[in-house]
Order: sequence, then structure tokens, then C-alpha cells
Amino acid sequence: MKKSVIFMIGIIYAASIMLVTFYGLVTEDAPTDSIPVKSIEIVGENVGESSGEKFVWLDSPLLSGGSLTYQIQCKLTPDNTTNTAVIYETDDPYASVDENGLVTITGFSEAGGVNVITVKVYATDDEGNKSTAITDVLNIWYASE
Amino acid sequence: MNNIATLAKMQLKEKLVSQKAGARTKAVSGTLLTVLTTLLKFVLSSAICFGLYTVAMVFSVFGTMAYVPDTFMTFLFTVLLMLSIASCTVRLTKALYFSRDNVILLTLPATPTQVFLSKIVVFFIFELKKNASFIIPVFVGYFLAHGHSFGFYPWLIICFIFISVFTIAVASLLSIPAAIITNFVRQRKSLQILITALSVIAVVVGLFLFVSVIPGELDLRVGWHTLGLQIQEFLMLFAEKISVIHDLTRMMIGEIIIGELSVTAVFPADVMLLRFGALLITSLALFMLSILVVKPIFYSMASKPFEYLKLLVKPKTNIVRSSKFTAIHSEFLKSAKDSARTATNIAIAVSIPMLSFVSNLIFSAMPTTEFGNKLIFACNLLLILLISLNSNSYAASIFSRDGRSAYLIKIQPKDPTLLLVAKLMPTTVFCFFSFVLTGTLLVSFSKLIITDVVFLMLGITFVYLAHLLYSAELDILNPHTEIYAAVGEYESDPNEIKSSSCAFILSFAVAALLFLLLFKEDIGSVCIKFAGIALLAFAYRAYLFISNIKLFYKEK
Amino acid sequence: MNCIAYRLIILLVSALFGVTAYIFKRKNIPFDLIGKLTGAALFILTFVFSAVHKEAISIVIGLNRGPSPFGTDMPRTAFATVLIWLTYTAVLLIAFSRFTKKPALHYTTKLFALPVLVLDTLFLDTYSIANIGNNPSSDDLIYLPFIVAIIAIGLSLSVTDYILVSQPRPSLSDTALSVGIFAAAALVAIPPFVLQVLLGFRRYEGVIFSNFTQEHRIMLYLAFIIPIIAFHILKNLKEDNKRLCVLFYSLAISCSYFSYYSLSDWTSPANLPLGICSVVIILMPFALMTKNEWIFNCCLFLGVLTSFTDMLFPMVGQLNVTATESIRFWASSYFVFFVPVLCVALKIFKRPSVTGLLRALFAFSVYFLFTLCFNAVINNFATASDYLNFENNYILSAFPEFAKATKEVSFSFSIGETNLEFFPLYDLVVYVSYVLLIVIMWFMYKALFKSWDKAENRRLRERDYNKMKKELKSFLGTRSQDAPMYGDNSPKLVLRKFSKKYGNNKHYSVDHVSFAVKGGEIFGFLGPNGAGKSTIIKSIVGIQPITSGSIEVCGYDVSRQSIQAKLNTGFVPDHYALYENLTGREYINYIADLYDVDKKSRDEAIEKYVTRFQLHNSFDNPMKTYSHGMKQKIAIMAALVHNPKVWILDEPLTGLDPNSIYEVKECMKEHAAKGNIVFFSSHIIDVVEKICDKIAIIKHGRIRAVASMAKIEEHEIDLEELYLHVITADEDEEIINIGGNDILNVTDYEALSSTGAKTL
Repeated sequence: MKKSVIFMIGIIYAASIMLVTFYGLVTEDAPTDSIPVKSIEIVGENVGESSGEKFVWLDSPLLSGGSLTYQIQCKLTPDNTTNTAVIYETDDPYASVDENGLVTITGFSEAGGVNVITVKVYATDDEGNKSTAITDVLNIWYASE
Repeated sequence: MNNIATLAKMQLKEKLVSQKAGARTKAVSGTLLTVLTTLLKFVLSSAICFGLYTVAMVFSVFGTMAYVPDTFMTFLFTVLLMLSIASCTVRLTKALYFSRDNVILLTLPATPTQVFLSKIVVFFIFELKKNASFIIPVFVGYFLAHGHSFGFYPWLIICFIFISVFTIAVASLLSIPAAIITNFVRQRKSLQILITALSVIAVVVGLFLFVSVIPGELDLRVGWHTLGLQIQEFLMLFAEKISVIHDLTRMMIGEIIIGELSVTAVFPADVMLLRFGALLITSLALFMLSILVVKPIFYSMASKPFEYLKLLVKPKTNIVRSSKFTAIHSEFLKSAKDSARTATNIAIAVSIPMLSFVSNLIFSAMPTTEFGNKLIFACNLLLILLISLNSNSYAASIFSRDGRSAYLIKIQPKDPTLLLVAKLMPTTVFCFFSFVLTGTLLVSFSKLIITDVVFLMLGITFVYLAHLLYSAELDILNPHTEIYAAVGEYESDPNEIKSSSCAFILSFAVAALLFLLLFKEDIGSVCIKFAGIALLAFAYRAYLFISNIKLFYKEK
Repeated sequence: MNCIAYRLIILLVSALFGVTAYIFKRKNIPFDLIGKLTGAALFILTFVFSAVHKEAISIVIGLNRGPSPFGTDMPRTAFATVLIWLTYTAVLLIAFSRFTKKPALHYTTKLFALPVLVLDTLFLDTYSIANIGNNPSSDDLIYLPFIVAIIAIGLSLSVTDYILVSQPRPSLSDTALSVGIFAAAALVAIPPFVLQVLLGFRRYEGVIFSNFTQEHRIMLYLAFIIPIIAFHILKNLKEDNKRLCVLFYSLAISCSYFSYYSLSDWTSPANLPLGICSVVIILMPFALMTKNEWIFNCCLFLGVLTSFTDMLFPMVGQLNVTATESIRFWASSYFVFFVPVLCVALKIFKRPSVTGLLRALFAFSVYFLFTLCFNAVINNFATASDYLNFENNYILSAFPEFAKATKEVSFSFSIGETNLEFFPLYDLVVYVSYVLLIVIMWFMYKALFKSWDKAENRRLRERDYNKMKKELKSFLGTRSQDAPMYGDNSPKLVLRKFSKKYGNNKHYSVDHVSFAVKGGEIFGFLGPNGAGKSTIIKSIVGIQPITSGSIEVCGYDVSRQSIQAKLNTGFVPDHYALYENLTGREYINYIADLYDVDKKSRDEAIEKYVTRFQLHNSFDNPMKTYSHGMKQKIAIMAALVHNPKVWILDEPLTGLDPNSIYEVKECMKEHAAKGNIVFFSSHIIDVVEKICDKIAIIKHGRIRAVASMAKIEEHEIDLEELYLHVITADEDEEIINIGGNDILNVTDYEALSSTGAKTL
């Protein structure tokens, strides 16, 4: 075979590899358009609703020196939203909530009575900022000795 | 001096005439055409090189700067120089010591040194032409891409002439041991076989080494940047190690100064002239050395090939073969004894599976989509077809190469079709073998399953056979036996060119067709359809072949 | 409608014509002119009628789905449809046959046209209702006279056929031919609505033909299959008949194409038949009638591609295949697609050349400009026209942004009230794309016809070859194929009037040479260079074919029984031709295999010659190591290893040393002594003198002298002097014969076939 033919075949060979590289490879999924959250709702077995706010009673009382925990569950609408992050906040001095929604209650304001702490949940927008419009509130009632 | 000039002129004329053998164009338009085509080829290759450089700059292969570093040019130039020296040595050895006109030249009233010098002169002129077509465009493209000033271009031509001198000087020195080795090996059959086996093994080993370098996951787009950095490092190292050639390259392209926005090339005259002088002196020195060395031995070396070692062989017995089989046996025998032919056959038989293997390995390391899989299938097909069909260009001159013995077919009391098909068999056997090998490699290393591969290879075989018959028919109906009988080689055999272009067109057409079909159906049925259609095409072509030859030999 | 009156009119007119014809016949006045005029009038009438009028029955879709002009009377509807169909066929045939003198056509019209028209007359009411409806408005009633006129003229002309054309009693094959002609005519003249009426499904249901469904592809394949069938049917007709067939086809198609039109179409500028397809349909009949290359080339280049693209993307694809528009589309597309190519294939028109291409380009440019302006003008009116598909150009629709960009450039001006707007750049692009397509078509045609020619050529040569084989077979009769044609297999070499001309040379290099060589003779062939010695030898051996005459080797004719002849021949060329890479032994064995030499004789022969030529040391070395003399000896061995009855040598002694020359001479004598023939050409008169039994001297391709050496010695003639005398003598002198009667006497050897025939 002539040299020029070998040369051309070599070029076609390299070109075909280039071709497959540039046109045949899996591309990362393009960032799908974000599906924003429309609403957020706190759900759970014992979560009830009264006058627009949700509440839940904790079974066991808070013992002195102990703590109570409760896991908040949220439902985001629509289901396939891309902003699944939820921000939990409480400004009660006796409770804290971590980023996964686990509420830890360590104190009470009224001994031997019924206490309530309020936790707010906020949905996030595309940048991950708190979206103040989409929110829900949960009141946790508990007994203390 | 006169003698040398006369000898040189004589050989030049002979070469020029034989290269245009068979051409019947008028002198003026013929030369005009050749000048135009050479110019066109030149411009085209420069443009391609320019394009490649621009692409490299755009993709920041060599770093974020928008220029191709001189280290890369050094690397390129080294490669080209090595290739040039190697091919020069081979061809110079052939021209000096193994050319047929030595028979006449050595008997003329000129000293062997004069003959030697005249051959070098003739060779030099043809070398210039050959080198010009690939070294100069590379640099011209570079100049264009970096906006060198106009003075560089004539300087390039001057440098290039002297680099050719240098190349030939080196080659003439190397040709002496080359000739001795060739003579030695030619006489000893077993040595030839050993060398062939060793080279095949070396190639296979090299292949495995290369293959082990290929990473498991290959995504060039991602790894581009790191690859680019590695390339740059490698080039710097290379330039440091081979500083001589680095200096030489910079002599030609000028010193590159990296400005803030752009890159300029300057021409520090003193440094350049120094380097140029060094080149000049080295070449002349080498040249003188070679003349010195050759003077005493040229005559004996040049006449050696014409002495045949008469080996005392034990007389063999006569073997009777059936008249149908004897033609096939004879063709295989002839092919085996022709070492160049055997080497080409083996090269083709080995290269198809090898390239297929390497490319499939690369492809399977890439994460591909469905579309990519289809592309890979088509590329596989394209590569196999390109190489195997282009190897058929030999079949497009197989009848003419018999030269004067070609007409013997008409005398033999046998159907000429059988005798002609027998000629095609040796190469075909090698190709079949390579197809089988490629098939097994495809099964193991690509995403195809065995039935697909079987049908695919069947289809490829039929296409190959059909094209083979077409090429053979081209030659049998339009032979150029006189040219081959006189010269032994015909550079631009029109039959070979036709066969080669048909090979390219056919490979691309088949690959494109199957690629499009893949969108409609799945791979399995596409392969089966391909095998079926190829079979029909082959059957029709075989019928045409037999019928045309029968009619051709019955009447003219 | 007062049908009785119309019937009477028809009968009256026919009777009038009949009587006139009879009178003309009696008075021997040719009726041709009247016939032609009337025929032309008939055709024009029919064409115009169909072009401006839509048959009322064409709205029927299927026989059991109304509404039909006949209400629910389906049999009548069907009958009426078929009647209209046959009437069109008959009328076209009648009009057409006025212009040709083919008896077959006249017989067809007699046999079929007349009954059809008679039926029309009888069922005139049905016919008219089918055409203009049951309750025709006053506009429609205008067409009634047309109908009557057509039937009347048609009937008259067919009556004149009966009177004027007297044919001998027609045979069965004539009748069959007529049936065929009428059937074919009916097939091509079918009005588009017939299938819809008779078979039609609801228009948008049933089989749909577009988007490359199975059925669509079948229609596309048919576009290629039909012309192939038509070609095979038509190719054996006479030149003129082919043209007439295609002309009739084009006339019929144009009629049926325009039958879809009605008067309103002609008055609305957007529906004029100015598209490429329509233009081709109009032009083809003219091209065929006048054999005009210009018009034909336009049709060839423009029409084929556009009709093919139309077929690929049919606009009527959504309609059922039997719908009127569908039939019309497919029929006209097929016509435009393959008829021009068919014409070239049938050699009605010449192959397209560069001039043809240029003509077509010029005509296209004119057409393009015209359409451009026409579109621009018409765009001012309500319905825009888009001839040449400026808006829906297939190519540009693939590049919408580009198309939009080019449309930016516009240029308009007003003439009076009409506003003409042009898009120069866009139009230019469209023009260029069409021109490119035309040029591509031209290349495709060239390639197509070149391979076509090659195939035809090969077919013809194959036919000759088969004929030759058959002749041989019948000549040999009951003898086996291996038996010699001429007599027995004894050694002899006979040339009978052998002549050889190279290529297109006028001059014979060998001119009617005849001589015979018997077994046991060494025959020498002398002559100057270029006299034809090599040519004769090459022809005997099989390297060159024979122009005329015959050469016989041992009873086998060299061209007809070449393999058997070669088996009995051994050839030594003037310059050895060997396969240099093989050893001597391998080469000789290879040759011996080809000649089927068995082991024993092979071993003997090889041993003998190796010893004789002293090749022991080199016989197993590659032949490229041999000297010139050794190679020549190997060539001699190869020629003798199978002990041929005829041994031929071409200048065998050139370049050999004296020892080798001696050996070769001994071989020759030995071979001849065994009863074989040794035939060689040489320059060296001394050698010829010493070993030959018979000689011949040839000059300028003709034998100038034959002699037997015995007689020459007897008369003490110097061969050298004889040779020089012969060479310098005049051409016209007789052949000098010195005891060479048996050389020249070739008629002793006559072929005997099984039937006793002398020669082939």
C-alpha cells in the first residue's frame, strides 16, 4: 500500500476516536430545571391540627435531668421538588432542633405542668435560602414532673 | 566532474521518463499539470497543518497560551528527521547498491567514486522533492499560525536544503552497514524467517505494552487538562535532552518571545548563522567521511548483489499434483519466495486485528451512550474495511506484475479463470486469517455478541472478496505488463488508483449505511442483513468476473 | 334529454362519413387527409372537453356509498364508469391511428372501438348522465353537444375504417395482438376517477401511502419495476413502433391528467398547470412527435428528479390509494419519472450529452424567471401561487435559519396597481440548488447509461459465445466434446486462409495465409522482421485471437477447441518467460501438472533433459540465478515435458552458445523423428538449411515461397540466394513452389461432421 494511503488511514483512525469522544460519551445530566417547593406540611402519626396550627402530644414526661426527643416529619409538595432541604427553627430556650428535625427538649418553664414549645419549619428556595412564605408550625406539648 | 555530471544526467533522464511511463499527455500541458498539482498538494498540506495548529491552540493543548511551543516543534521535527533518515537510508541503500542500472554504470569509463557521487546527486534531487512535501508544510503552517514575518520563509527553504544534505550524508554513512547486512541476510533464508518472527513478536509485545498504558476509564474531555500538562512536561524534558535538535529547530522557526498579548518570533542573526554554520560543517564533514569510507569498497559492494551463492542443494523429487490444484500451489510458492510480498501480507494480517484490538480497548474504556455505541460499531467496521480493501490495490496490479510472463496464461491448456483466481489466493488467505483473528478479538473486547460478530465478519469477507474480484478484473482487462516488465514498479498505476479510491468510497458507504440502519433496527438483525446483502453482491460480482474474463479471453 | 334526436344525429353523421369514404374509395381519392384532420379534431375535442369539464360521476366513492348521478342504481353506475373509460380509450386510439399506417392499430379500432362507440350511442342517456349529472344546470348542458360530437366523430371514423381498410383474414395472433394493444391502451388511458368509483374506500381510510410505510415503499419500488418491464416488452419492437407506443402513452396521460381540471381551475391563476410535473406532461408529447432534443432534454433533467422527490414525500399520501387525486398523482409521477429515461434506454432519443445539459439549463433558467415573475404578479391576488415550490423548497427547509436570513434581502417595485416583490438572494439560492440538482442528475445518468451499455455489450458477446458453443456441439454431433473437429488426432498443423488484423488497422498483418505441416517434419519459417512470423506463431499458440480463417492443430480448431489444441502444443517463446522465484524443478513440475503428465513419463522426461542440458547443479536453485542460456533451456524443457505433437519455437537460437544450439538442434531432430511436428521461425538461414525438411518464406504477411529441402538440395539451389530473391521480388509474383505441393495443399484435410458436411 502506498504511504499516502497508510497516512490517510491513520488520520481516519485518530479521527474516529476523536469522533466517539466528542459525540458518543455520556454527558452529565444537565441541571434539570429546579422544581420549587409549593408548600410544606408537618405530618406524623399523632400530629393533629387545631385552629390552623399543628400540635402533638408527647407521651412520656420530661424527667428532671433528662430530655425528650421528637422527630419532626415534613411533607413537601410537589413530591419531586428539587429543593428538599428544610430549615427547622425554634426560639424556645428549653429546646433545640437539629437540621434533621430532631427536637431535643431539656427543660421546662412550668414545673409539674404542661409545657409547649413551638418549632417552625421553612422550605428552601433554589439557592438554599429560607423561604419565609412556605412554612409550617408545630406545637409540641409535653408534661413535666 | 564532467563524468559525474553526465552520469547524473543520464540517470535523471531515465528516472523521469520511467515515472511518466505510459502517460500520453502533451509535453506542455503535462508539465503544467504536474506543476499545478504539486503546488496544490503543497498548499493543501500547509493549510491542513495550519488548521491543526489552530485547533491545538484553541483547545489549549499546550497550555493556556495561544501558541504552539517550540518544544513541540522540536519533538515533531525530531520525529520527522528520524523518519526521513530511516527512509533515506533504505532507499539510498537500494539506489546505491541494489539498483539494476549498476550493471551498466559500473562498466562505464568512470571511477566508482564518480558513480557513487552521481547517484548521490540524483538521489538528492528526488529527496528534495519528497521531503518538501511533508517537512515544509509543517513549518509553513506553523509560520502562518503564529504570524511570522516574511523573511522566515526563504530562510526555511535554505535551511531545509541543508538539512536534506545532512540527512543524505547520514544516510550514506548508514547505508554501508545496511547494505552489508542486507546482503548477508538475503542469502540466508533461515535468518529471514527469524527476523520476521522476531519483528512480529516485537510488534505484539509493543502492542501489549501500549495496551497496558490505556486506563480503565477513559474520558478525554475530563482528563484533557491533566493530559495537556503531561504533554507540556514531556515536551520540556525532550527538548532539554535533545538540545541539539532543539537548537536546530529554533534556527528555523526563530526565537519565540512570549509577550503579554501575543507571541513574536525574532531572528538573532548571530545565533542563527552560528547554528547554520554548524549544520553546514557537520553535513560536509559527514559527507566527506562517507566518501572516504566508501571509496575502497563501493565497487565490491555494488557488484555483490549480482553474485548468487550457488547453494549445493540435494536434488529433490518430482511431485505430481492435480492440474487444478497445481496453479494454487505454484502461486503460494511464488508468493512465499517473494519476501517483500510476504512481509506485506503478514503486516496486513497482523495490523487489522491489532488496530481493532487497540481501538476496541480504548472504546470500551469510554462511557458511551447508545449513540456512541452505534458510532463505535460503525468505526470498527470502517477501520477493518479500510485496511483490508486497500490491501486489494495489490490485486489491481497482480496480473501486470508478471511482466513478460503474463501471457503464459493464454498458452496454458486450462481455463484462464482458474489460473487468475489462483493468483489472488495467497493474499486472501492472510486476510481470512486476520478476519478470524479480528472476530475473536471483537467478541472478547467489544460489546458485540458472538452471532453478531460472525455475521459481521461474514459480511466483511464478502465485501472484501467482491472488491478483490473487481480490482483483479480491472487489471486483467487493462494490463500494463510492459511497464512492469521494463521497470518493475509503476508508481501511479491507474488500476491501483481506481481500486484504492473504490476501496475508500466503499468502506465509507458501507459504514455510513449500517450506521443509519442501526437507528431503525437492532445490531443483530443489521448484521444478518449486512451479511445477506454482501453475499448477494459478491455472487453478482463473481458472476460478472467469470463472464467478463471468459469473454475477454475468447475474443478481443 | 332528448336522446333520440342525438342518436339520430350521430347515426346521420356516421352514415355521411361512411358514404363519403365509400365514394372516395371508389374514385380512388385518398381519404388520409380528411382522416387526419378529423382525427386531430377528435383528439383536440376530447382533450378540451376533459380539461374543462369534470365528470359528474367522479364524485362517487365506491359503489355502495353514494351519491351517484344514478341514485342507488349501482350496476348502472359501474357500467357508466366503465363505458366512459372505454370511450376514452377508443377515442384516443381512433384519433391516434389516423396518423399511423399500422394495420394492427386499425384492426384494433375495428375490433374494439366500434363496438364501444356503438354502445355509447345505444346508452347515450346513461353516458350523458354520467358526464353531466341527472339534473344538469344550464351551464352543464353546454357540454352535451361536446359529448355527442365526440361520439359521432369517433363512430364515423371507425366506420370509415371498416370501409376503407380491407385486410386479409386476420389470424389468431393478430387478434391476440389487438387484444393486447387495446388492453394496454385502456390501462394507460384510464381516467383517474375510475378506481375510486368502482372500488373506492372512504377517502382517508384504507391503505395510506406516505411516510415510507410498507405500501409506500411498494409504490416506490414499482416506479423502478414498471419501466424495466416496459423496457423488456418494448425493446424488440421496431424503432418507429417504440416511439409510437410512448407517444400514445404520453397523449393518454396528458388527457387523463387534465381531466381532473374543470373550467374554474383554468381561470384561477394559482391552479394553472405550470408546475414542473405539469410542464413535462405537456411537453413530452410534443417532444415525441417532433423528436425535438431541446424539449426532451428539459424533461429528462428536470422532470425526473422532481417527480422522484414528489413520490418520496407525496402530498396525497393521506388519501386512500384509490382516490382520484391519488391515482392522478401516482400515474403522472410515474410517467414523468421513467418515461424520459425509458426513451433514452429504448434509443428513441440520444444519450444526454453536455450540450443536452446546457440546453436543459438554459430552458430551466427561462422557466425559472418566468415562474418567478408569475408568482410575484399573482401574489397580488387572493390566492397566492407557488409554482416551483419557492416557499416549500425541500432543500431550504432543512436550513430554516439560512433561508430566513437570505429572505431578508428583498426588492420590490410597482407597475401600476400590482406590487411585485422579489427576494433576490433567496431566489438565487433556490436557483443554484436546482442547477446543482440538474448537474448531479446528469452525472448519475452518465454513470447509469455507461454501466447499462457495458451490460448490453456483455450480453451480446455472451450470446455470440453461446452461439459458437452450440455450433461446435452440433458440428461434433455424437462425438465427445474432446474429439477433434477435423479428422483424427494425428500430428498436423494446418492454416486455412488465416488473416490477422490488429485493432482498427486497415492493413492486415497476416493476409490469407494457408499452409499445412505433416507429422515428422521440421518446418522452418523464414522472413524479414515484421513479416508476420511472430503473429502467426502467437495465433497458433493462442496468445492472439484470429480475425478470420482457421488454424487447426492435430484436428482441433484453435479458437473453438482451444484447450484441446493447447494440450497438443508446446511453445518456446523468443524471450524466455518464466517465474523467476521458482526453482527449475518447481516450474517444470507446475507446467507438467497443467498438462496432466503422469509421474512416470514426467520423471523420464525431466531426467532425460536435465542430463542432456547439464542442469543437474542448478535444477533445484531459483531460476533468477540462471544464465540466459540456462533459462532458455528450461523454457525448452517446459515445452517438451508433455511430449506435444506440435512443438513451436519462435527464434529459438538467439543468444545461445554453440553447445546449447547443438543440443537444441538434436532435440528438434529427435522430436520430429518420433513423428511429431517441429515448427519454428528463425533468421539464421544456415541452421534452417541444415535441419529443416520443409520451409516457407513469408513477406508482408503473405507466403512468398514454399520448398522442401530435399528438392532444394536436388536442384543445388542456394537457400540464401533464394531467400534474398524472394524478399526483393515483386509483390504480385506467384508463390515460388519448389517441391512444396503438400505444404500448399490444404484442401486434403477436410472436416467431416456427423452429417457429412465438409467444413464448418
